[in-house]
Amino acid sequence: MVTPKRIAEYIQSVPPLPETLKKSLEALEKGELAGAAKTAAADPAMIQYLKQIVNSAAYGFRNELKDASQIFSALGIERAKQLLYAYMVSSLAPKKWAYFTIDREGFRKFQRDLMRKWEEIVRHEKADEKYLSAAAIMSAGLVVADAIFGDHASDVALLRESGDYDLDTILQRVSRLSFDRLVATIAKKWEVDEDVVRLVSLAFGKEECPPQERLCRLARMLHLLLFYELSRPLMMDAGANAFIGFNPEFSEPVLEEFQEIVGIE
Amino acid sequence: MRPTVKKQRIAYFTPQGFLDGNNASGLITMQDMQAVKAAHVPMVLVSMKKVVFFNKNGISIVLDALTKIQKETKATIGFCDYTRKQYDAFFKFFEGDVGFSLFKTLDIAMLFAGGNEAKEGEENVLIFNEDPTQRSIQAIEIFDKGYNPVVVQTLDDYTARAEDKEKFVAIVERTYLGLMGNRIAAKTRGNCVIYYLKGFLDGSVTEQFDVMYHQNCLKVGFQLFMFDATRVSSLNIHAANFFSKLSTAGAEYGALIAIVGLDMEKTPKRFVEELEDAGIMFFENETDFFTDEVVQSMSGGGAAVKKEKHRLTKPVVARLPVLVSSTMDTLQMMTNMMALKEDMNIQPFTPKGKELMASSIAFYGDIDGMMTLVMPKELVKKSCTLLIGEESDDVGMLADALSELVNIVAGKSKTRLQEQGVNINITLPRSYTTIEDLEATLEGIQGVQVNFSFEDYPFMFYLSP
Repeated sequence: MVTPKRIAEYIQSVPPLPETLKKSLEALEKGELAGAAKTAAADPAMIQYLKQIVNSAAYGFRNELKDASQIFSALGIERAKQLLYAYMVSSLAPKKWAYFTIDREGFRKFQRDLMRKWEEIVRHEKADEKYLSAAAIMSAGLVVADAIFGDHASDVALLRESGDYDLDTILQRVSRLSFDRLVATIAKKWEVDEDVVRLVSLAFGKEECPPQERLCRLARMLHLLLFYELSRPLMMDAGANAFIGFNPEFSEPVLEEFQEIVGIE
Repeated sequence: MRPTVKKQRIAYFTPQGFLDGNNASGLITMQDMQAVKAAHVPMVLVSMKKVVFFNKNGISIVLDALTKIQKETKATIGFCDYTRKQYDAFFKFFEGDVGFSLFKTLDIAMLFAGGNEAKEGEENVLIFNEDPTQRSIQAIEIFDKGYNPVVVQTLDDYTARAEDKEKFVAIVERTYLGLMGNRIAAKTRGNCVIYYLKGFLDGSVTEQFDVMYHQNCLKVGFQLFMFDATRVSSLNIHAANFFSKLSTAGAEYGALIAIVGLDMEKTPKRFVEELEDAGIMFFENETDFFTDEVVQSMSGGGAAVKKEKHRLTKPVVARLPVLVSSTMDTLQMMTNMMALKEDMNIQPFTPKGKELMASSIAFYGDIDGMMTLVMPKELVKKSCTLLIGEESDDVGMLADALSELVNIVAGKSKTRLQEQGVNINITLPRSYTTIEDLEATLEGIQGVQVNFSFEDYPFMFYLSP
């Protein structure tokens, strides 16, 4: 099955931030939107990805955004950062998914819906907008899971016929590793803000944390949001609902507010 | 989402997150329904353990799918693993028109699905429900499944009785029975399968009897079949013919069928004589049955021994590499250890090593046979860590996990054989906690034994007819 050695090799193979993206993020850190856009414009694949995302119905911009400067100025600093990380995750995603029965477009839709709803939550919670990037980083979990279990899909299917194991549980039992740690490792490699990495780790719902603490509250919201999106028929069909274990007790304290924000009746 | 099949009795869906009108349609697809039908289970449940939000629209969508399954398979359908709040919500949504069943936990559902092993002596089950009709229905169902229901009328009584947990094998509360399947209940005790009959037995017994389950039990080596008829008023010629045919079919496997507790005064004498001619034995009660010399002489053995006319055929032996490689790959996957093949011979089963545990599973279809995996307890522990989550010393838990492991091996073999155009079905697994039980089952058999070692542990694969 999966071995720690194989996982270590995979994590090692994850590329660091490309120079263009790194410089663009640095410019955003300094508050230089125009500079960030100018740098990003040198990467046509990245601009193409951003155009596809921001011109989708989910973003609802009245006019088509055609170039880097329009995109960056429409998004603002933190949303632009979020999308740059989402692009990084998207680049890491396979052309043909091996474990999850999803295609590139399906994954992008999942990312987009996750990020848009997360924006609503972060704003509702009046949290620091730097946390917007957390949803994009969270989506990397599926990419990592697909890379690790892609060659073992039939073994996992057999295991799941006899027990309701999620992929994270299987991973822990065979390698003592877990997706929260792997995603955090990749996020650090991509120089993601430490607080955002901490939020993502907590949002896997495995650590105790007091609901009154702001970061914990956000983590509970993100945990719920992840499963809201993983409950969608597309993701259920893809086998992604069993990616990690859902923790209802962890989510309970923020459930009602979550429903209000997301608009579930 | 594919269901997990628990003890070959319950197809168990475990969604996580939200079951609302937008999301629920992805839970049970057409392919999932096909998988449930193929599993031939008497109960199909959706677990609410990890559902944080659901509404009437979502549940209605899930129920549509479950109802389709119910219409085709006659299985009991419903939900389990819910909280008090979720339980109340079901009644609020459907306002007295709850046609499905609700089981507080999977373990409680398993009592009603007949998936538990019977223990010696009376097995008391405490039942409480605020609705007197439900109390009665649940008591009857529990009784039909071979347990002794202890029904309490008030919450105070329930609270007081529930404190004596050790007096009950289970406590049934916050459970609701909707339309139940009417299959004849079955439980196993050691090498014996016990079926529970009730009422007047006529031709409908053929529909209510789970023939596939019975055949699987025969194939996997069960030899004793006891029909508990203490609640049967009488039977007609159609039911008598059914038992007669069942006995004749079982003779090939050396199986013994006994009817226990039948009221002889109300049963036409000629039926009894005909059934005795067909090899069926009659006993007044369960104790007489289990202490009978003939029954005791058979209690360790298994049917496979008796099938003298069945030998390993060429087509089975030709697929031996697939069966062995499926076993090895699964074991290597579960242990992350490398296997070394030592030797392979056609021979009677010869155990190697100490503290051995074993589990068998039979297959039938284009090829027939039985695979048995034998390994020391320590290797079982390592192999099943992935299934149990931790190393355990509990023999019962290890035996269950070993059965799951054999099930996984058989599933893998089935898939690989299918790729070669060979179709098989697999039975339920049977585990042996002592090697003597297995030796008795395989006594006199010439099968193929392949010996392996996993690092320092011996491992035996045995293929028998």
